[in-house]
Amino acid sequence: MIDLGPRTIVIERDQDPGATIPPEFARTARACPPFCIVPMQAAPGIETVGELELLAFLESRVAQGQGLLVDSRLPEFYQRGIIPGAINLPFSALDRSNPYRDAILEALGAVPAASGWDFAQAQELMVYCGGPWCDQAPRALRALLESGYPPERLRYYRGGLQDWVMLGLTVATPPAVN
Amino acid sequence: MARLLGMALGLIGVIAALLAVNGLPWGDERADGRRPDPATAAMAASPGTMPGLRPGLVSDGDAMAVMTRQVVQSLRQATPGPGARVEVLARRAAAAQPADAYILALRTELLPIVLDPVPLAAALPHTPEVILPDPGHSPRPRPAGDRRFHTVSPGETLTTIAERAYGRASAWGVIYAANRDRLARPDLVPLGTVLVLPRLP
Repeated sequence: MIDLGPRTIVIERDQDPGATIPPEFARTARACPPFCIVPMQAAPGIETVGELELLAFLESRVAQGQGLLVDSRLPEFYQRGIIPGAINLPFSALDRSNPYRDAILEALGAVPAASGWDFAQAQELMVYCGGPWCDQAPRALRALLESGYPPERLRYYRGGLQDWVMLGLTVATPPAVN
Repeated sequence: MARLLGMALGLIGVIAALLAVNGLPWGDERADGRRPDPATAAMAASPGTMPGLRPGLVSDGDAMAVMTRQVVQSLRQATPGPGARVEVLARRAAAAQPADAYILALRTELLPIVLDPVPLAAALPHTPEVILPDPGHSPRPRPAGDRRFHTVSPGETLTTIAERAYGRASAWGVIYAANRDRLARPDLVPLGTVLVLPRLP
């Protein structure tokens, strides 16, 4: 149970010994491209993490208002189920082709500076997507790097939702946006 | 009891320091007399718009604009405003037990600021004894040049801060002495640290 300020989330591991993976994550033969197996590292300088590090990140950074757990998939996938506590930041919205990307950087705490952005007060981000067959989180991370986001403020949970459900961990419904 | 009082003052003080840095979360005028930056003011005036998404620039059919707007809205909900940071800092201060000099300076700093006791009390769940300033007390703008707190920016050292605050770099020792509870070494001042700038003896 983690207190995230305005809301509390509960993450548990399913204790039913007969439980199996949900059907939408049972497929093994996804077409590549686009669903290619991704490397362990998303980009130089960005740490790749596992489930326990994700939980620690929620407890230490997100609960303190200093970090965000980011689901980088498109909204329709985000709506179907997320890692508890995650916000939706679709990879395509971070791409340089999005003419409004600056508004997102600003909402993440970056401050416009003389040249580019000052990220000294920006949120630390831990980014995931569907799983090790999904390149949306790595793309989001590379787009953030390219915008100037410091790699030490970024982390990559490569396992994504695929590994999360494989371990029987709680999947949540996204909070409503007012 | 004296210890409790000290703690309580410290907690209030941390909030005051924060307000001095971030401005009053519910006010238009900042505690130091400066106005909020124009972008923030514009956003408050028209909650439906955001920088880079000016009306007329974006058609409703622009899917990327719609997605960006959703993202920014959810980020605003998820990221703490100044009020939430008060809560985080207050919780940290409750664990840290600030030094006496810090408490005293913070207490002085707090006096001109009117705080709404309800959210403040809610932010301090473990310290029911906290002493709140009289809500009837009217705020007065702080005189210019009377800032007694400083947030460490990139490239700053105690020497440069002393130079700017007191006009002489040699006064760094005074700052160090007043902030011993948050500085392990005088030559290692973490970015973003809120320092007390005491009056020179």
